[in-house]
Amino acid sequence: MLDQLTQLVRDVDGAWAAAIAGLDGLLIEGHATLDADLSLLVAEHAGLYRAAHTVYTDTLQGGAPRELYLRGERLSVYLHPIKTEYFLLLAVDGRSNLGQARLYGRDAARKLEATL
Amino acid sequence: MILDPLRTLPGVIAAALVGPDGLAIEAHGDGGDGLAAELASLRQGMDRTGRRLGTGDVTRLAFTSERVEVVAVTTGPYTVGAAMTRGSDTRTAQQTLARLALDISLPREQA
Repeated sequence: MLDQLTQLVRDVDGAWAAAIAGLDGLLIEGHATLDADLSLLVAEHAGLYRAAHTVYTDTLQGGAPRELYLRGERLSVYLHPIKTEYFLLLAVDGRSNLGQARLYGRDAARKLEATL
Repeated sequence: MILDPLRTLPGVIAAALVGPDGLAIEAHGDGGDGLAAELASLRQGMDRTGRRLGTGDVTRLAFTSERVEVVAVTTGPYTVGAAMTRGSDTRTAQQTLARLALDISLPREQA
């Protein structure tokens, strides 16, 4: 699992962290090239995903979100749900390759699904 | 759409038009999205190469791998390219790409 997260960070231009976590906000496994609090990162994004999930499924009748991308001034995150209880988080910088993040993030999520 | 002239060329497996973020503006064929993401990545490296070597902007890229030939041209912030079966004649594709690049960089005339 750690190998796949490490490879994902290597393969995506601008990526600096990847993690697997539960939608309860608890970190399962993570890899970062910068000194960052991955537990806080996944906990906060689990809350954001849960909120998006509720709005899309209950309020908007749009079905469950298949991916989530948030771009901040100094932090951007791509999030891909795995099964119904977990998600893959990929943190990227402002000059990242979002195409790589989506494609390789989705691919990693599919591979990790088998191990969760 | 924009990539239509590439779709019918012999040997073309995939084609993509992409901006700096790596998301395909338009893609064709299996692996078109992947080609877009990697062309954006290569473009970033090419921009650095041109800048550091003082050669000016790199405007064309071509490489051959074990199974495919890839040709791409740049226009403004965009990169448009095609992946072709190894051994294909890439000349027509390169001419088509050059024409597409011109179309993309110029404002289209309103009918």
